[in-house]
Amino acid sequence: MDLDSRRQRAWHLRERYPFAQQMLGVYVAVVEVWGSLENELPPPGELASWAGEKMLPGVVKATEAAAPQPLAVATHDLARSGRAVEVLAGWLAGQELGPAERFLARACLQAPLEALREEAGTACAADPAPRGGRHCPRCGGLPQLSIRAGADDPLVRGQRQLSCARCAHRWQYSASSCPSCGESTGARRTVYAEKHDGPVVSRTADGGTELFAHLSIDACATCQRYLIDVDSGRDARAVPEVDELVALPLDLYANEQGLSKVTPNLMGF
Amino acid sequence: MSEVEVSRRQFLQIGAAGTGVLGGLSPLGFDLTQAITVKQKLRIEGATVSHSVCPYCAVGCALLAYTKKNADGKVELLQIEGDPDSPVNEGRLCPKGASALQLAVSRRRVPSPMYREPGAKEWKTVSWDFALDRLARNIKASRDRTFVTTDANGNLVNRCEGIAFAGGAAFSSEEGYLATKLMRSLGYVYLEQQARV
Ligand code: SF4
Ligand SMILES: [Zn+2]
Ligand SMILES: [Zn+2]
Repeated sequence: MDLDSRRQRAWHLRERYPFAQQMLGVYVAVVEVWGSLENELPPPGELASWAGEKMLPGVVKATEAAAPQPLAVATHDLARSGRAVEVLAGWLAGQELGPAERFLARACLQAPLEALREEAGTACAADPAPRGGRHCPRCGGLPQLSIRAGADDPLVRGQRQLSCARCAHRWQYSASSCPSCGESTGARRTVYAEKHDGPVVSRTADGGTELFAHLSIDACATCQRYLIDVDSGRDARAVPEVDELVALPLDLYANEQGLSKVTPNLMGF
Repeated sequence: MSEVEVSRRQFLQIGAAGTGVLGGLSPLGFDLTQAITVKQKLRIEGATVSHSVCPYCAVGCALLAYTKKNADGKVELLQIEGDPDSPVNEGRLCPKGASALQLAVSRRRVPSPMYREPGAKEWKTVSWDFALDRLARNIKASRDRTFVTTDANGNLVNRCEGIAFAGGAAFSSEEGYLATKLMRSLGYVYLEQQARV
């Protein structure tokens, strides 16, 4: 769990993508709370109550300080309602949650689940979802984003990994199948990206002026779902989880096309 | 939104709109005004992905081709890259394969047959009919001139020794079979083939 690189990337992206400043600010505030976990290993069997005690107060405080009022208020109310641990347990069990509940659960649980590594599966034992394939092989969670590995050679297209929305574990998944329904017919799958003038031959930046050269929408006409794809081959400094937050205009575009993300990101997009 | 109180119930109702944008605010209250402006200025294009195979050599690297259908119904090729799922090349392409795009879209591609008359310095553009007739006549003349019916020991051979045939990696197995059949029927014995796939 490399929090420094996430923090630094978020600061860097704030300058390049001013429209995402507010979200990146909340993200950095949450990452600071994750940092307080240090080397402590949470008990996988009682993760919800442990996080309710150890993570929740910090997350609520950080959200109140950095988030827009509706989110800050909703988080505060949730924490005071006495339902927080129930919400966290619901997230671990794969239950449907409201947007603010989902934010709270993820902000409180992602770091402990990442720290638990293989044990994340034990923490999510109550979730009946299958393991492997389109689900996270560790915890059964759904993918949050698609990542293309970087390569030193601009003529190499990296393999695809999916990153789990719950425990952030990454697993390999076919680059030419839909991460949501498995559709593999090329004509049913569309990649939306910023228009590049002229044909694209290699993966190195060739002086193009695109704002989102390394980000694209990997969409499926069969299930109307999409994920943001972060191509580390196009931007070696990308930290996928952070870069995905600045794809906001692409998300808005995807919504306009009637597409919805397989799992929204921490900020609800 | 400084003094607005949103109850949990109201909040979940807002959230029920998914990531819908209300008054420039996201369901969690993020201000999207700037992002919407950026989105409006973006030039986004959607491409579908097709599987193909590099035509250049016997390795047979797998390609992904990104194409887009334009308003006039024409399909435009935008990008070609190695298929990361292929066990043959695992997303890699050599420089030649990586430029396979230019087979279709290069401005320097020669679109029609060119002909240089014996003794002439200049190439000129000719029709396919002209080129094919000319080839057929030359093949017939060479074949007639170099056809061998019996070898030195008097064995019946019926072969043409004056023309050789070189196939290409762009051939599929079926095309390679067809080419070989045709060349043998003309009596050629010097055949080189690189068909695969
Ligand atoms: S990419 Fe290069 S090595 Fe692969 S088939 Fe084409 S020419 Fe051969
Ligand atoms: Zn997981
Ligand atoms: Zn699908």
